[in-house]
Amino acid sequence: MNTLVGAVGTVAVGAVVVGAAALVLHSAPTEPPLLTATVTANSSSTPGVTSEASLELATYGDSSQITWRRTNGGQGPHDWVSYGPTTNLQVPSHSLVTVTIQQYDSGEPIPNTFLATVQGTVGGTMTVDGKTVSQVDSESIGHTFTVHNYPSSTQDPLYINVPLPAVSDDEAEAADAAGRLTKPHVITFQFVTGSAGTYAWNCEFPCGDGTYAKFGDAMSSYGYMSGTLHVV
Amino acid sequence: MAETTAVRPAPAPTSSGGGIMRRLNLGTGLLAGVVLAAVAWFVGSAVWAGNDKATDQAVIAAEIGWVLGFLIGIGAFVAPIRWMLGKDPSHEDEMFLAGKDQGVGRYFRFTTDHKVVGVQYLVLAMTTFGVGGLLAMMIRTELAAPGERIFGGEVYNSLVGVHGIIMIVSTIIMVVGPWGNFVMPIMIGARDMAFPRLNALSFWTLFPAVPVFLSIAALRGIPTGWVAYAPLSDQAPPGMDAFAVAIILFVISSGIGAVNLIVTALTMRARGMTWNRTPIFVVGVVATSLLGLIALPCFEVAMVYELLDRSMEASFYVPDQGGSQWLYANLFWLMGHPEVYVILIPGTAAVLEMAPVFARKPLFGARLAVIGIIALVALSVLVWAHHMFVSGWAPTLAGPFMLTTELISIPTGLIFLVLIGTIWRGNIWTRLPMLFIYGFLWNFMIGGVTGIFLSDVPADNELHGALFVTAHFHYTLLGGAMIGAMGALVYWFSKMTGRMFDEKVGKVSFYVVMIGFNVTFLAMFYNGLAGMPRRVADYQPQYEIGNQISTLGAYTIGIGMLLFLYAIVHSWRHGTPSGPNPWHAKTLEWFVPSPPPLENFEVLPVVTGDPYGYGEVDTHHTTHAGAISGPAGHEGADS
Amino acid sequence: MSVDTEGSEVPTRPPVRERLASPAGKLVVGVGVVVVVMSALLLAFGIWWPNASLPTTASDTEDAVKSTILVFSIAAAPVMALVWGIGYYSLRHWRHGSGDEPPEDGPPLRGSNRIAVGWVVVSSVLTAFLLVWGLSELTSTTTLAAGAKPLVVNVTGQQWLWTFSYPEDGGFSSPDLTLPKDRPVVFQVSSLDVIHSFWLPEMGIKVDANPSVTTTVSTTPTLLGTFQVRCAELCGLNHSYMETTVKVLDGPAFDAWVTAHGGKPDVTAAGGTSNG
Repeated sequence: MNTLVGAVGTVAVGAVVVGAAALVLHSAPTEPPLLTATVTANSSSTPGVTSEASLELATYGDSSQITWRRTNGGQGPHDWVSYGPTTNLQVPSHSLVTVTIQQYDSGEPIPNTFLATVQGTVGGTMTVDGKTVSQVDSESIGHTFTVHNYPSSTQDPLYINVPLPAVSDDEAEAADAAGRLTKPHVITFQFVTGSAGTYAWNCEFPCGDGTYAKFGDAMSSYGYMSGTLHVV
Repeated sequence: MAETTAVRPAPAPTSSGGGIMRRLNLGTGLLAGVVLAAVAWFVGSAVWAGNDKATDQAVIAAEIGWVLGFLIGIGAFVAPIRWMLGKDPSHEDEMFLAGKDQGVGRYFRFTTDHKVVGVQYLVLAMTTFGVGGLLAMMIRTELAAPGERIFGGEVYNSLVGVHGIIMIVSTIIMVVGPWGNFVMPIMIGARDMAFPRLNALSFWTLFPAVPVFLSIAALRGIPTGWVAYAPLSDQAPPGMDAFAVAIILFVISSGIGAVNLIVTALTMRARGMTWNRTPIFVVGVVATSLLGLIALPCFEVAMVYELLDRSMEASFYVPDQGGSQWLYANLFWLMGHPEVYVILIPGTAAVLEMAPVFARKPLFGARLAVIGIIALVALSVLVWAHHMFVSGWAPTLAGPFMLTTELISIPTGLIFLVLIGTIWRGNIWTRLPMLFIYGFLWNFMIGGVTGIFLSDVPADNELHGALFVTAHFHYTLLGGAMIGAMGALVYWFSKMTGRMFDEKVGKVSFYVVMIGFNVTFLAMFYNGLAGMPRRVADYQPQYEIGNQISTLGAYTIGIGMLLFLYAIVHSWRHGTPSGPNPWHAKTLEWFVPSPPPLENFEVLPVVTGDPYGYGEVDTHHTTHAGAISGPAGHEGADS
Repeated sequence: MSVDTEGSEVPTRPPVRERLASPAGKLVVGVGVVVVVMSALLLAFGIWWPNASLPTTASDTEDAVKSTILVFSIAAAPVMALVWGIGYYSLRHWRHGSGDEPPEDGPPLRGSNRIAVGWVVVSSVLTAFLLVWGLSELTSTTTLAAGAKPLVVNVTGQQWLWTFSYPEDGGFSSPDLTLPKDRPVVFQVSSLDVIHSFWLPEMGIKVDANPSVTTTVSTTPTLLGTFQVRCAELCGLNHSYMETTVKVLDGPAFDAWVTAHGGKPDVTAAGGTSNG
């Protein structure tokens, strides 16, 4: 009898340890808060679309503008490049989603020039500061917004790549000297979501300075330059 | 003229009974380690401040400081320093170092007695295995549902990497550490190992490596698997530096241990114990140690280059600065393939050692087993690039490496022949170790056959990097080597502790582990064939059922292992006291009391035959153990 | 006993039935039955499992992979059955329980040179067969048919995305792969950062994408449809999501796709000839 109690007790203690470890690992890295797109009624005539939604994002040269990191402490350094206000995004399914990104960061040439073209958006275009374009100068990219296609039996394909042109070096220097944010480029694009699903997205421009291939640090840490797009 | 003055040697120094040596222990080691780590961190941060690599450099300095401080604090350098100062240790000092009359305290200091080191290695192996197992539970939890982000990709990659390396370390030391140290010297009729102080050093060099591994979690983890491929490892957070330092420590530790084991087995066998009369377990331990000595330093070198790349802007592995990622891959796999045999051979040798005892028959074709083990060692250094078939490196070498890899199946087959030949027509005594022998037979067969699939290059092109490989090596390493290790633990438990292992709980845990294990990894073979990659945190829905089955199976393994843990602890504290030879076996360790006294034998034995003479009436083939004190020391010696 | 011409007696072996009825014969028959039954079960499993688990066959390479796994499974079945059969039979017939005292010693069988040599010979023959099979498959899957003009696709892997470009069809790029059916295709694979691995599961091909080096792999798609492209080497945070699709279209549809992407279809290609 004692043996039975001891054996079951050991298993129970082990299960508690496993559960506790899972809990700690789950909650220790602070999950970025969820940003839900603002939904409006459908006024478009695109087939398969039942609503419209909009999202406002921004890309910064450092994470001092990211509120949730300042208040939560978060994980990781506060001086890395970062998307804001968060990287955890939610949009409705079968929706025409309009995304506006304020791009504050300077940039460089992009190694893969194909990613300087706009892909997966409505019409294959986006507007940069009011001008409609289907690609930008590959020598001066700040970041990209790239949603990874992950088609399966339970979710529709969804692939988007939007290059975000860089703020000029002069403007970046001037802003630095004056202690203000740069004057950002404003990029707007639209895409149509299919059925519900979960997609990973990240910036595909190597902006993790000081690391190999510049894809370390912020680029490889969840919540800075990478996130999740929930289509619900 | 008839008078001769007898010249007596100068008397040995007598100990003052005090001295720094007697005050140092694990506690002082931890303290000194932490202090020196902190000092190294601050100094390192200050000296290298302001450059990209500052954190890496400070981390490396801190980890090295931790290890050096720990070794100083536990007294590893006391003896060499005293030697340099001309203050040789006295006999009392050496007996103190060997743990005489110190009770439990001797396990917590720099004790040279091989039996103490064996117990220390057992606890360390169990602890590292427990940590690795905990991480496996985490991995399977993440994989239980697709599309869910339980821990997320970043944490998951670290879980996978640390699980891998901790399990590798654990399984490498799992048989050779406890039983190579505790049992082997007694098995060959010696009083201790050839280099007792190095024995303690090998353990206490590995001990501080474990916190270094665990510090990976505090340093933002590692994005690579345990193979730490460059250049992803160049891109990694400072956790990669901790990984590299820990590996370097581990290789140093195992090198020291390997030298000790080899020299002990070569030079300290009892009178009359020719190689033909040496137990197969000793052969296995020597072969493993030799292989490890050759292969593991490649990993160490690879990690040193990695640290230089990461902290000093070297370019060993950075292609556009003149380095090559294939340099890393080759160095790594030059270690990586022999390393799996370093894990496998001790477990296999333990199974071969136990089979005659529980079939009550001689080891069938013992020379074949020796040939098989030697051939495995020789061939295993010639197959490394089968891990690189898809890398694109040297495509013309695909054929030759396929040849050498498929050749390895021949010595492996010899081992199977010896095992089933021993069991065939034996009078099978189904005590708990025998169950593990059968478990090994089932699991290792599957593991070996699936390895043949992977050795075929076109098939490997489909199966590499997917879960088929993962299931294959879990079958060989976990299902083969570790089941053998568990059997060895049950078998030699009474010798180490003086108590019998609780076989009721043991049998239940065996069945739970075996069922859980096969469920987990058979489902994983399926998923691998169906196209699910390895080391992924998320997967397509068609792999969901297989993953859920694997997760349930993994939890079952966890339960079984916890039951086994309980059996160990319960038996250690409350088990039935055992005599010296509960298994009526014939190797020398069974002719000393359980647990053995400090000097093992009162009188060193003389050996006249091999230890597998079951069923042979002719006494020429049985082993004389000489005069032994203790009850029933002779029982079973001549049966 | 028969009598030879000189009158002395020459022993002959007893007839087969008598030998089988002897204790040793009964043993061999008993084990033989177990091994044969196990072989049958394992063979059945070995024949069933490749097709049941491997993905759809969409190329000639995948065909070769499937037949290799099938052949190896069939070859492995009797070996596994022999080893497991002997183990199982021994346990059933000579099990002496788990008492405190060991059973009596068994027969002192230390080995048999005949068995050892026989075992090594059989395993060497088996290994040689697997090797010859493997080498011939390796050659056939890596040699392009004579006279075929393969389609060249440049594959660029980066963290965590594949980009495909068609240098000989106008040099355009695409985020997913499209291929013509029954035309050999050569992939020139490279990486912009860390090591990735370009894997088409249904087509049975995989090669690492290395930085600063171009590696090559080739195959011929044989099935129309949409299949998967995966990364098979851990490459960081989003390795799990480094997937895209490969669409196989027939010749004219592929040319139309090329034109729609701003490329120029290669009209000299030997399209439509599937030489098996």
